[in-house]
Amino acid sequence: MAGIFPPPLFDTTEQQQQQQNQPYQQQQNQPYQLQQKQLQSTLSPPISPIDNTPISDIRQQYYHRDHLRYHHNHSQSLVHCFDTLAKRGTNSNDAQEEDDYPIFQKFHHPQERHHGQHPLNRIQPFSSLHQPSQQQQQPQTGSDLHNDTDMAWNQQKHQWPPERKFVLSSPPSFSRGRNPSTDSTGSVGSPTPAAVIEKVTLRPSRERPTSAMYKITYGKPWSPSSITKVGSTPITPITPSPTSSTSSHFPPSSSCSSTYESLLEQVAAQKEKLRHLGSGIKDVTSNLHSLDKTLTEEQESITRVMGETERAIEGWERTWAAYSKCEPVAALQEQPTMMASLIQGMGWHEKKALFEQLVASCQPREVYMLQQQIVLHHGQVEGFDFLEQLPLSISTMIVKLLPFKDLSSCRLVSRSWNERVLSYDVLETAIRKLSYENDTLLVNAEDAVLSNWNLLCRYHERELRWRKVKPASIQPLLAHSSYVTSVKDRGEWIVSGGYDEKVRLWEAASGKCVKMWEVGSAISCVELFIDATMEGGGVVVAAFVDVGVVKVWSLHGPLNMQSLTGHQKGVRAIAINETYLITAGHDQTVVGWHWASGRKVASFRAHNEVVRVAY
Amino acid sequence: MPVTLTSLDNQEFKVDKEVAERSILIKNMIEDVGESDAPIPLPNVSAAVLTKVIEYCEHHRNDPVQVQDETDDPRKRSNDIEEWDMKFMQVDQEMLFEIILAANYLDIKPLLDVGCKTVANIIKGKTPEEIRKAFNIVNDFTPEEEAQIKKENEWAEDR
Repeated sequence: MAGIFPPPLFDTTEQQQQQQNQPYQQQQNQPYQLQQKQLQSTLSPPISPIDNTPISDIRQQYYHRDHLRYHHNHSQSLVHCFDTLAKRGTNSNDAQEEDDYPIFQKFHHPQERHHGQHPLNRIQPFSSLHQPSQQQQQPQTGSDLHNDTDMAWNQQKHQWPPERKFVLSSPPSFSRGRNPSTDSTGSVGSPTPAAVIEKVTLRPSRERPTSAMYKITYGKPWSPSSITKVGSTPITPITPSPTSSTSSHFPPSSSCSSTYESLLEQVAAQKEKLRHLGSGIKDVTSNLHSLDKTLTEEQESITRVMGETERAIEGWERTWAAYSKCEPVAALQEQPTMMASLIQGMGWHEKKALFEQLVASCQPREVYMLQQQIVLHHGQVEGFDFLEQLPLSISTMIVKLLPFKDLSSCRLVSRSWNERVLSYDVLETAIRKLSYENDTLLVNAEDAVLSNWNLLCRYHERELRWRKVKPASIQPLLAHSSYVTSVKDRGEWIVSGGYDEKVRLWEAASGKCVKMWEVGSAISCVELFIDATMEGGGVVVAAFVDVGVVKVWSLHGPLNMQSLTGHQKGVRAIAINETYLITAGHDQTVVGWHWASGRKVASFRAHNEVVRVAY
Repeated sequence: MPVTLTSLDNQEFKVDKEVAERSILIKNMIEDVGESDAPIPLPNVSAAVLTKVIEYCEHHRNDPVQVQDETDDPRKRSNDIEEWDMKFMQVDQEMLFEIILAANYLDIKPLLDVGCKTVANIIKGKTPEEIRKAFNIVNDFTPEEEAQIKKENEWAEDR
């Protein structure tokens, strides 16, 4: 049970014992206190926990020593002392010396030392702390400062051991004390609230009663992980007592130890840094080496390239000299690779022009030789730019064979293909293919290439719409009040007639009804003949469902030109040309008229009803 | 009476006059020069191509001479190729190219037509990139030019 203390341990009970002797005396009969007393007699200088005076004297003494050491040679002497003390760890005679350097107590608690064991060897898992003990003891409570803690302890007396550990988690709180039996320097309060009581462990034991143990870390608080490992429930933080009269006497002692510890930490940190720096320097050095190497290589290659360039320039100068003397053959002989490198440096169009010139300057046999050379060097050339390499007339023939969709693809192949597609011949042919008016040539002069293309596009679009029955626009002609029986579209004009007994003339572009003839009978069919040369611009013809009369009007003239009578019943169909009008009636006759004069030219008897006539 | 033709690489071909006269060039030559045993030099046609051309002419020796009609309605012109001609034209592009050139040079209109139709059929239905691949063509448009043409072609997109 003696080894339950976690390594760094401090007794903080000295203050309590020194300042409040009474509880201590009351509990003397208990083994814990007995042990304390024994320890005091064997280890400590002759200091009575009851008597404050000698303690303060000693403190004063120690203060000076600490102070001097601290201020004059603190680090060296501390290191020295540490080393010395560490060596003598188990010697009880060293107790006095150790007290000079309270930090030592972290590692060599006097009591433990007394028993000849190193505290590190006694570390036990915390679970062992929870073993219930019959002899649990409450430590002597000291100053007002610790009253709260003491109360907590008292309250927990019967619930022991669950609250053996006290973790004071707030870093600024500080408390420090020593076991009076081992520490003659008395208690101190830190001048700076920089320490944390990480753990307070009470471990009264039957075999080896001991004082309360406080683990205090100076300077830096423990890392959260170590705190959680140690702690259970944090209890009341212990704050430095402003009432402690002695606390002000020993700042150097505490600050010395804390400084030492922090110094150790710093040294460790510096060492670590140094190690890092060392490895960094190594890296940089190796980098420098490799850079140096690269630089040397670069310099060498530059020198090499320079030499090559100079030689090349010399060669070119010779060649140029020969060339400028109009001796290209000599120049080529001088520099046989000149042509090749010249051509390699050329752009695509320059190359093309050069090859064209070259081929044009060759005799047929030479071209053949050239061809053989090409096959020899490159094997059979897989692709052939037919359109570009064939004579223009032939490539035009080929393009003319293509439908519109392929023409638009060909335009995107290359510049020369685009030119060939946009040639007048090709576009004219393409438009003719899409046009239904053979005699109307809408294709522009050759220079208006793009407008021709756009024209072709419109034709193509119309063709597509026609095929898909997808009108570009729909223009409703709203006027007739009954069924429309007949419509004729003649480009600019549209004529219609129906059961509402009206013939209407429409302007195709605007969709407006521009003229209307009231006929007084249901209309079976209408016809429109446009002739710009005649007076009135053309004629409108209308025939009736059940009246054997055909009416002819001038398109733009006001007059009712003719009323052609002769059919017995209604008229089923009419056809017209510039001179004659043919009508087919329900009476199974076909009659030809000279519409301008209204004269009947011919009459045929059909065997059956005629439904359609045409020229 | 056979006619002797000499190719570019000095090979001699003996063919019937009827066959040789499928070529308008040779026909005119014979008419101009008159009957002669002297070989007719064809310095633009290699032996391999001339063999092919003669093969075609042999097959079509009895075809009626086509009346040239430039004003022929393009809508009525057909891209169909006779089956034999189609097989005849199943050659590599180099030979096709040569045949077209030879047909043009020798003025054999039906052969030239078949050649052009064959090329047109290769082009048909292909995207610009496929055409370039098929004919080993370099796209020499700048991106701006290409975008402009695409814009002009937008008209033609199927809507």
